[in-house]
Amino acid sequence: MPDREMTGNMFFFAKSEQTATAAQKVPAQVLIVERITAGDAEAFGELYRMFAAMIHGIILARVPRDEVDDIVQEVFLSAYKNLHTLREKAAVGAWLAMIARNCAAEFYRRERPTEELSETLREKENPQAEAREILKTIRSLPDTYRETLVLRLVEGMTGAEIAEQTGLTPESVRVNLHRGMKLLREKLGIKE
Amino acid sequence: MKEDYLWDKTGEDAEIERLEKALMAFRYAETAPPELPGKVFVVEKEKPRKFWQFGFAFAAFATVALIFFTVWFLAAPAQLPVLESVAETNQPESTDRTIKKESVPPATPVQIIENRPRLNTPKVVKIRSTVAPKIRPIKLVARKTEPKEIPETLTAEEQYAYDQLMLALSITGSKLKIVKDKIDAIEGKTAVLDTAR
Repeated sequence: MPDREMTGNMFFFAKSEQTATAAQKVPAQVLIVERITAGDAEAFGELYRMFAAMIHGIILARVPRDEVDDIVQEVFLSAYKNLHTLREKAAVGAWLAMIARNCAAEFYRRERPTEELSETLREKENPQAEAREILKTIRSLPDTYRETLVLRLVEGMTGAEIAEQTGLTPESVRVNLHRGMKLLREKLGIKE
Repeated sequence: MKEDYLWDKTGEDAEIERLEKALMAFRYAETAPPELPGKVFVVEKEKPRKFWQFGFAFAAFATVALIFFTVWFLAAPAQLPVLESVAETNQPESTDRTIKKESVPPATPVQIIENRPRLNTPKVVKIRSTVAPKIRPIKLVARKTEPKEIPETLTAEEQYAYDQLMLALSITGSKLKIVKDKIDAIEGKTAVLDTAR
């Protein structure tokens, strides 16, 4: 076999190997999105289970706890209706996070005036007063920090998982966690 | 603060663990995914108005341009017979209202018009019936004209030409005077002879 032909074959095998590797690296998210687009309702359930915690955390960082579950459902329904507008299927997590932030903002736009419960009644209904205080303090932090901190401390996700699901870089998540935790400690009066 | 625990939960950090434990109550409890609608109606967003505005403006401009050029092309051949008739005003009245293009004498203005590229021009050219203008005798009326003042500044050539012209005029005037005298003398003689007869 001539050298040239051999080289060509080697190149072909190398290329096919690369293609196979790339195919393996295609995230499961892309496949799920493709299945949903094709009309697979079960795939939508998988997408929900994959990202529900992240969406819950993002919304919890912004709106009252009682409203969170409804808004989570609203986010996924909105995503399902607008899935055809998603161009980068691999970035479905970041896209869902964006929808969640928009829905949280929409909640405050359409919010109706409500009466505040008295402190005594609150204490009775919510025995985790300390937890509420901590959450309230986290919500008072800047957007980038509170979202990452809720995902880490409330939803129990690791930094890598947060980065993977929200589409942020791991470095950004690390910085947000570090600075956010520092601010939270200061506000809660915790000494390092 | 142990950053490792904050990042990937490795190691220990009592304070963060305490916060996690406290906030555990708010953690997401797995729920069923929402019921999907039977059919999703995709409402397409309205396209930007600018596109339509530009489209309408362009269509309006194209329509106006089309009408203008259509009128121009239709009007251009209609002007041709009028110009041809002007060239034939000195010819006798033609009885034929319609003549072929080849029979038109090749007058200069017509040739110019014929050389113009024409679209949709019929081969038979209709010419309006024209009446030859009546030729009236020319009446020459001499007007008394005052000699124009010579411009103060004349070049040498102009001065020479002026002198020559004045000389010619004076010679011509004297010659005419002689002719007039002779005519008067002849007429006087004939008148005398007539009276004598």
